[in-house]
Amino acid sequence: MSNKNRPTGAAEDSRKGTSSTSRRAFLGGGLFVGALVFLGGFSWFQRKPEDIVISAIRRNLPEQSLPERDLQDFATNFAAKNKQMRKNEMAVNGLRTIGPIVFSETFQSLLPTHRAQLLAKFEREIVTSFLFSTDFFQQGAQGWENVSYVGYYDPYEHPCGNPLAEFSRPA
Amino acid sequence: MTPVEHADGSYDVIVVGSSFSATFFLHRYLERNPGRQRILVLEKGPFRDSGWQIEHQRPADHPAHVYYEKAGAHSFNWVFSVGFGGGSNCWVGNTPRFTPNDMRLKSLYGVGRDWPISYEEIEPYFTQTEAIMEISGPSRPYWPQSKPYPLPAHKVSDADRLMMQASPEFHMEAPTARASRDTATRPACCANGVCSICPIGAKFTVLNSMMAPYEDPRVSVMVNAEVHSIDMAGGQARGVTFLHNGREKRVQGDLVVLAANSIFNPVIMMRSGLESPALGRYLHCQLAFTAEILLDGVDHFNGSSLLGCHNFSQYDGAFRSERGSMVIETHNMGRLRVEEGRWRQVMPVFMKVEEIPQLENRVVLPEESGGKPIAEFSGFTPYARKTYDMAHDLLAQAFAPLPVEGIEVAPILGSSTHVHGTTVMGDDPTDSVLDRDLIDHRVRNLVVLGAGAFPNGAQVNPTLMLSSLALRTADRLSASQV
Repeated sequence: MSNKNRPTGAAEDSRKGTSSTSRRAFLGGGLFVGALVFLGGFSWFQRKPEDIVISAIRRNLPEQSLPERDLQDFATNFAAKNKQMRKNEMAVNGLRTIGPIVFSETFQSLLPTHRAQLLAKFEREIVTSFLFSTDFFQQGAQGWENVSYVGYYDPYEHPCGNPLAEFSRPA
Repeated sequence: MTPVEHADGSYDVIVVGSSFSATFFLHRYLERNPGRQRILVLEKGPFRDSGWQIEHQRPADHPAHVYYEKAGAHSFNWVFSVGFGGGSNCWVGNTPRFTPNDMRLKSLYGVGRDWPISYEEIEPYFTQTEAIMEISGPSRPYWPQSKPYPLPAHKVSDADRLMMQASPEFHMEAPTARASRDTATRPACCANGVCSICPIGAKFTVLNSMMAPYEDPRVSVMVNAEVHSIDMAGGQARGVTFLHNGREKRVQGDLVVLAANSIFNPVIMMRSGLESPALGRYLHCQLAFTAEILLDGVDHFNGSSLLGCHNFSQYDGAFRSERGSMVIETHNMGRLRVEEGRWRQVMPVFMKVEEIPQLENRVVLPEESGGKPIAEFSGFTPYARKTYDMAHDLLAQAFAPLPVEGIEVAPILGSSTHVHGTTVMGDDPTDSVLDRDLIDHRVRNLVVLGAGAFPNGAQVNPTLMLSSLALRTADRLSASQV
C-alpha cells in the first residue's frame, strides 16, 4: 500500500515509527560493528608472532600433521631467533597487527611488487626453517606419514644438521 | 697469545691492526727477518675468542656503523669488524682471484685505471696465500694459476653440475677458505650456511689458523689500543700516538705499517698532517644484489658448502668499456619453494658488479677533534647501474643451459661488505697515495696495507688480493727491493 492511500495520521505515525526504528537500528548496528572492529583490532594487536608463524605453516603445508606442541615449539623458537638475529628486517613484529591477512593472496596482490615479494619470501623462510626442523627430507620428501619434528633448526646449537647437504662426489 | 698492557720505548716495526693484511705481512716479515726484532701490534678492538663470538653470534662488540658517520647523497653501509683478527672473524671465506684483465682496465677498455703491478707479479703470492689458507678450489679455474689449490673443491648441487657440464669454461666450483676436508687446524665444512661466524671453525680465520705471528716472542700485541696519528719528523714516521684504555700513549718505531682498514687508515694519515691529492679519495665497493633462478624439474641445494659455483659468463669482454663486469655466485642455502614437491627447484644467486672509483667519494676527518670519520658516498655510477638494469637478461643468458621458468631480481643491497680505495696505489704521486709496494710516495718508512690500495673496484672479493699484496710488500721490504 502506498503512503498516498493511507490515513494521514497513520502515515505520519508510520513515518515516525520507521524513522525512529532506523535510527535505533543504525546506532545499534554501528555500535555492534564498532565493537567488532575494536575487538577484532584488539585481538590482532594481541596476536602473538608465534600464531603468524603457525598460520604460515598451515597454509603452505596443509598435509603436515605434526602435534600442536611441535608447531608451537617451532614457532616460539622462530619468533625468538628472528627477533634477535634480524632486528632490521624482522617482519614478525610488524606483522603482529595484521598477521592474519598479510599472507593472503588478496592482500599481497594489492601490494607493490617488491613488498609482495618480500612477504612471500618471508613466508618461504618460515616454511624452509620448519622443513629443516623436521626429518621431512630424510624421509624422502614424499609425504608426512612418518615425518617427525626433530627440533628447531639452529646451526649454532646443533651444527652439521643441514638435511639437504651432500658430501660425496659423483664418481 | 697474551696481550700486553704496557708498550714503551722503541720498536723496529709498529703494526696497526690485526686482520688479514697485518697478519700476512707479519707472517712473511718474521720469516724474512730471523734476527732480533722488536715488533708491536696495536689493535683498536678487544680480543674475542671464537667461543665468545659463537655465544654472542656476532664477531665483535659493536657493528661497524658505530665507528663512522655517513654523508653524501647515498646512504651506504661500510661493513667491517673491529677486534683482534678483524675481518677474518666475519668474512664469508670466498677467495676468487682477480684476473689479468681486471688489472688492465684502462689499457684494455679505456675506463678506470690500471694497477701498477701485473697479474704475473702478484700470481706467486696468490698461490702462497691459497696455500696458507688451505683453499678448496676447482681443478680448472677461470684464471691462470701456477699451482693447484691445496684442497679439492666442494661438492656442487645437481643444478650446478648441469651448468658445469654445459658451460665448463664459465661455470666452476668456487674457491673458498671453508675446508672441503679436515685439515690440521680446521674440520671440513658441513654446510651450516651461517658462514660469517662458522659454528664449527671450518673457515680460515686468524684465530683458528694463523696465530703464530702473534705468539712469536719478538711480537707484542696490545688490544684496545686505538692509534690516533703517526708521529712525524723530518718527513719520516717516528712512531705513533694511541689511546689505550682512555690514556694517551706514544711509542717510537723505525717502520710504521697501517693495516687498520680503508676507513681508518686514511684518517690516521690525515691526522698526522700527511697530504696527497688522492688521500681518502676513491672510496668504493661493488654493487651487490641477489636473485632467485626458478627451475623447472632440476633440484638444487645439495652441495657441501654454502657457496656452490662461480659463473664468469658475464665477467669479461668489450662491454667493460661501457658497463661493469659481473660475477655470479650460486648459493646452497636459501629459501625453498613452497609448491608441493618442488621444494628444491630454486637457485639463490648473489652478484657483484664492478664499479669505477670516483674522486668525490671519500673519507674525511670530522671537524671536531675526536669525532668519527665521515664516509661520503654519492652512489653508484651509471657504469655499474647499467649492468644491474640488465640483470634479468644477463642472468637468463648465464643460466640458459638450465630449464629456467623465472628469474626474480632483488633490489641493490645497501652494502657489499667490502671497502676499497682511500689510499690508492699507483705510479703517479699526484693521483695515488702509495707506490707499487704499498709504501707512501713521500714517507718512505710508512706502509699502508689493505683494500684501500685497490685502484679499481673489481667485482671479486678482496681478501685474497689484499693478503697477497701484504705478503709481497713484506718480501719487497725484507729484500730491500724498495
